[in-house]
Amino acid sequence: MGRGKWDFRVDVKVAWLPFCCYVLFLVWVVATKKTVYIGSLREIEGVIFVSSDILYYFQFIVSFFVIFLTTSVFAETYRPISNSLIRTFPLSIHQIWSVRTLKLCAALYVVMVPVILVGTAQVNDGIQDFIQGFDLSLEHVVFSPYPILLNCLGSIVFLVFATQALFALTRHRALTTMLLFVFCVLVAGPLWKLFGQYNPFYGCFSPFPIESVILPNVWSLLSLTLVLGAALFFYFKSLVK
Amino acid sequence: MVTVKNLSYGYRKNKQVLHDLSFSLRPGMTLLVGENGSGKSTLIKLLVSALPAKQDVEMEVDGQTLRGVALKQKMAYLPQGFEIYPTMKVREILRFVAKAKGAKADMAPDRIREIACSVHVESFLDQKFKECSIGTQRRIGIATALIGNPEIIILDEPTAGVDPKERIHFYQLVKEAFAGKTVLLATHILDDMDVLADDVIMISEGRMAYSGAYRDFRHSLDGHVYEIPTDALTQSESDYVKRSVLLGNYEGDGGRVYRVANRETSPDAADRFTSVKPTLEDIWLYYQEMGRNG
Repeated sequence: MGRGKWDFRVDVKVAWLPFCCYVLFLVWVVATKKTVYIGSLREIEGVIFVSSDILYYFQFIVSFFVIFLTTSVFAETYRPISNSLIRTFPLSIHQIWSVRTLKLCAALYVVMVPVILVGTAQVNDGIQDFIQGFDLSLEHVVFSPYPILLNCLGSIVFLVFATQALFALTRHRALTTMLLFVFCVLVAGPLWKLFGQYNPFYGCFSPFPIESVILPNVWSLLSLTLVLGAALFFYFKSLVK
Repeated sequence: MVTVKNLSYGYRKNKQVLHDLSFSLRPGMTLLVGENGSGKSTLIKLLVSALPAKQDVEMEVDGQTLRGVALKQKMAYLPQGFEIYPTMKVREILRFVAKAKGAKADMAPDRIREIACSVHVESFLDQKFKECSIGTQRRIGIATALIGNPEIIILDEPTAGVDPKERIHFYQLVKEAFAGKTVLLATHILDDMDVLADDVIMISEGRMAYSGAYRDFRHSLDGHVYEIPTDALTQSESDYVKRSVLLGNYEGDGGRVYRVANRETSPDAADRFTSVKPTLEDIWLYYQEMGRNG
């Protein structure tokens, strides 16, 4: 008998329903062309800013799915009674945590990539309509999918790690979910100005620079993810022998 | 034979919960007893690596020193109020545990049915765990402990919250299912001892109060428990009472009567002291008190 392995079927079993809802939501957004709408397009000091709903749908709304899915998948890992049992199995940290976290992030992101590509094309259509409609003199305004792809990746990994870190502290699924939902709403609303361009939801409710490959908030999301990831690694290392 | 040596643990630096515990476990049923808060659950969780510890717990199993994963592979743990993935079917839970334990052979559907049959839960295999009764859930817990054919089984108050009738069934099942294995079962229910125990480990405030065969434990105070009327005690009688462990007192015909235990020589005034047969409660109280006083 060697080391044990995590049965990923249990993760699929507990998360398939919210995951299907997540996929349906993404499909609905592109099918109904929600991202075509352009609120504004203007040049400020040589930089073109666009106000689009693409990040609102693919980052802000998706955040709630990410939080819910993370708590679903890791509910038994952090619940005290099952946590103490899982730790007695001959499983490695990678089996209990790292591989499952990676798989969750990959599953969330893989389905998002094609809808972001379609959504970006819709934004470009919207920009052309906007330029023609308002008879603007802007030329060669092409919206690239890369900033959105990077931003959504940063947001997904940050929220997966943040949810787990809070879950490890509270050991309570409903409380963790509610606290993070409230955090998202606060950051998007009353606390918006506190974080400025480093706000996790920068671009969701405000214009963002169209030619920037990496939006400024991606750095803050990735740095926080690294810190949370290290904290979680040491947390599991102290528990799993 | 399983041996544990010099085990200490504290949740905080200056607050030790377990103090230098050493004991041996023979094949058969060893009951770990002690008052609430005596450190039973901490000891159990430490043994099964369910507590964060700076160093891995070491155990000598049949002369071989084991720790970490090697120890986990020899051991099964059934926590108080066993519950994992309650919304899943019993079959799926057993398969999950088999894979987590690295017991590939036990993942086969036939083997899962066989294990379920051994604890009489085969008819619940396709039922969700949360829909099973408490008694059935505990039996499912035993089934998970059997997976991987471990040599050492550790159970933490498995009958907590189970009604007396179900508890008797549970004991029978535990005896049958774990026959020939080394079992450590933590409990604070005195009745459990007479039914189950081959050996007893009693801890009091994290210190070893007793470790040995249950038969010896049960008879260890024979002839050493007295009932003493407290009226007009002589100085030597009074000194004897002070050196004894007070087990209780009640209002007798001629005044208050103390029930005491003392394993020293019998008191001089044996005619005034009535020797009584010790109850399990007497023995329990005696060793708890002795453990507290080191």
